[in-house]
Amino acid sequence: MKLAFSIAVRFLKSGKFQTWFIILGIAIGVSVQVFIGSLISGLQKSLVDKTIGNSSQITIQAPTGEYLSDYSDIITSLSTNVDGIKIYSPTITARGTLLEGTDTSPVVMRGFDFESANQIYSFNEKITEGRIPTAINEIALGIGFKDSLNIDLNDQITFDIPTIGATEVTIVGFFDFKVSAINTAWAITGLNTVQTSLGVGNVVDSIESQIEDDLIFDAEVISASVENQFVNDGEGIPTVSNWIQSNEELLSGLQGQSISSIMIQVFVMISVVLAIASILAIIVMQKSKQIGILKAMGIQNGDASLIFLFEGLILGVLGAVFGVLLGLGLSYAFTTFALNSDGTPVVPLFIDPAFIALSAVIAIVASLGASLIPARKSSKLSVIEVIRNA
Amino acid sequence: MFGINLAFEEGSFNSIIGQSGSGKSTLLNILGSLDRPTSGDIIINGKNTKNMSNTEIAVLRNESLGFIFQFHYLLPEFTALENVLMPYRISKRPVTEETIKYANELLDIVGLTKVKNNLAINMSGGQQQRVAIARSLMNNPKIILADEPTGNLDSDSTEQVYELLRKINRQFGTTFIIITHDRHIAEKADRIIEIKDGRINLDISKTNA
Amino acid sequence: MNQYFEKFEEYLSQEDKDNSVNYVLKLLDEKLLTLEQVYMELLVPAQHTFVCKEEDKEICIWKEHSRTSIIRTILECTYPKVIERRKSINKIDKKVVIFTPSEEYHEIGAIIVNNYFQIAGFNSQYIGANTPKNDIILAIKAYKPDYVAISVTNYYNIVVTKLIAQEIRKQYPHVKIIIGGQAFLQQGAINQVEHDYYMIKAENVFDIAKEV
Ligand code: B12
Repeated sequence: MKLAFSIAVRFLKSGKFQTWFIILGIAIGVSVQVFIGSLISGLQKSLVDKTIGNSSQITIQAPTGEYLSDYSDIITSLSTNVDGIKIYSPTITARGTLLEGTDTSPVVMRGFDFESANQIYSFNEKITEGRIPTAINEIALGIGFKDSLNIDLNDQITFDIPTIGATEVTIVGFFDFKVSAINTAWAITGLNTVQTSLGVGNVVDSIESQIEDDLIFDAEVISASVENQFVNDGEGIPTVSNWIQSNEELLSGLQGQSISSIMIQVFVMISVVLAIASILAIIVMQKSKQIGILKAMGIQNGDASLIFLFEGLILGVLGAVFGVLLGLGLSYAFTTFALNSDGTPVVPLFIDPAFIALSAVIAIVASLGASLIPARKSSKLSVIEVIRNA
Repeated sequence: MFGINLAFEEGSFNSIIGQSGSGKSTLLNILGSLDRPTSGDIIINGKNTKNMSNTEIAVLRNESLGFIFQFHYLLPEFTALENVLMPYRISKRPVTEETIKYANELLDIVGLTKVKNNLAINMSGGQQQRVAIARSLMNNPKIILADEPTGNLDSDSTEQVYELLRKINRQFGTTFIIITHDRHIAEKADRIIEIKDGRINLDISKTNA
Repeated sequence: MNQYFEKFEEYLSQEDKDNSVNYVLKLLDEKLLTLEQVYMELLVPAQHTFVCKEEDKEICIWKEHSRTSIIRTILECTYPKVIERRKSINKIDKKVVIFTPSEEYHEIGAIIVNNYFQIAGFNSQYIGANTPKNDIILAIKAYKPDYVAISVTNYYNIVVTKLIAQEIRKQYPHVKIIIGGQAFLQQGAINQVEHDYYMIKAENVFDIAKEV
């Protein structure tokens, strides 16, 4: 073992140029692997994030026209019985019109429990002016309303719900969701504002939630187990919906990306394996004289083979190490230098240590596998052929 | 090769001569278990090599046989000393102070004390050949097989190498079987075997009758 | 040992060529020794017993050369005695060619054997030492001898002698081959070379003479 290892090291050292060349080859393969992998999973993450990051991923909706009065009980029981959901937030929504002088605009008045809702919607980051409503009848509006209603911070306006009545509310902030459908339609406020406007007690019409990050794609399963918590007692039960149902297109897009990412990685790996195998085969040819000499001195076939397995292993390990470093470097450079005008990276990378470790392991295993052929070849090499052909 | 029946006495110094293509190298390779005969038996130390496994043959080569080739066949990646130690390391015994001392002694015997830490490729032909001789002695083999050991040496080195082999022959009682076309070596051997067309054409021993 | 050998050896060891030559010629002239006695009891032992003294180690080869040269001179100087002897004997009408094979430089033995053939009445011819195979064949073609005598000292030269004998047999099957010299003292050597006569001593040529 020790002998085979030290011979392998010596062989590699003696052809320094060639050795570094192979290591570079493997390293490039691994780095491409790491980079592309990080890039694609980064892309997917950011896409998913953009789409569903600031929205409810599983929503429990009261039957039409009804409210959930026991919502805090529901949340407590769900929290203990269902795994994989990181936050529940009760909300109540009222549709109506905002009136400011002669200007009117339809509005969706969303009442939140800000403490929990913030974790879903990150309102703090989205407020561009003013603050989040804290007291009853304080609201924050989408910046789209600024133009349509010609209003400003601290203005008082009327929120009118048809057939129910009007409430005077104070504008304490503006928010920007970067989605115009929300910016021109939503007003956010505390639960109590909406509850009093609607003239209902402490009830909500839905419970929104977000799944734990790494379980995002298990939304359907989690959603089903949420649904199982509700027993139909004949009065109708809340409907449970999840983000996957409403984003089928996005999902198939992601899946396509994942497959192509795997394909790319497989091909990179295949080319790495082929490169190592052929180079090691050449090394066996170059070293066949040495193998012949060692055999004349009585080295066992197994030990002769081990020399090449060790060569493969050493090349694989060094290649993987340099490859990972190179891949990380590349990723770093990419996220540092390829920036949008606002300073955020064009493509955010997602660096997953497990994935990187896997790439490295694959490269090492591939190198070992590639060295099997030359190893077998060397054990079959007969001294006499080597001596005759010298 | 046909109908060859040879027995070598322990401790004797034998030379095999013959024109190139006569089959003398084949004979040596067969004797050294590097090649297997199509038919016939090779008995070394009372054991028939025909019935040996690859592993047993490797062990035999390692422990009982030493080879010296014309093109010295050192491992170019290793130093002189490392090359000499190689047969010992192959035997998987632990390398001790004493082993290294012995390897150094062998290098002294072949007159390479000064260059023992040079890489094999950085040595002259004669030096490399002497390293190969020291290497062949490392495991104290019973038999040393040499194929044109002075084949590519000048006449001074040839004489030195011959003297060295003779010295070892006397000192360690090692049996030598040497292929040579160098008459200076052949005429000094205890026995001359001439191979011609794959047969023994001539076989004379120097025993002053 | 011959009574005169000690004195002769003394001159030789001093590399005193003049006295060595004169001493032997005087012994012959005064008929104190026969020609055969000079050859066998003075010259041959002088060559065979040559030992190198430890202090002479470095110049040993030169001492050997110088002694050989003296012996050669004496040998040549005895030739008139050979001629003389031939007058008194019956000539045998048989031709002999003597040589040493290629690479064989030891020729004293061959020269002495040549003289013996002469004394025995043969018509013999020494064609030289270190004779290449082809030249030997050509010589046989030219001289048409009845016998060839090959003198081999260095046993390595058995290899080439074997070839020469084979070639002679092939081309001139009727020519009788005589072999001799120290090389054939080695084990198995005689059987290697095709021959009709193998002789250890030079005087054995008289046996052949008797045969004819
Ligand atoms: C002199 C010498 C040399 C001289 C030769 C000069 C010359 N012009 O001949 C030189 C310096 C060149 C030399 C060189 C080498 N030598 Co020189 N040399 C010797 C020495 C000291 C004497 C040889 C000699 O002249 N003997 C005298 C002759 C007369 O004896 P002979 O050859 O045995 O012949 C007798 C019989 O054998 C017989 N005979 C011989 N031939 C024939 C043929 C026939 C047909 C017959 C019937 C009989 C016959 O008759 C002769 C009389 O009885 C020997 C030592 C020794 N113990 O012999 C080493 C020796 C032969 N050399 C030896 C060696 C190793 C070498 C070298 C390789 C390196 C070295 N150490 O120097 C080189 C080789 C060169 C070559 N390529 O051939 C070894 C050989 C060992 C072996 N196994 O082969 C010896 C034995 C020394 C040793 N103990 O190490 N050498």
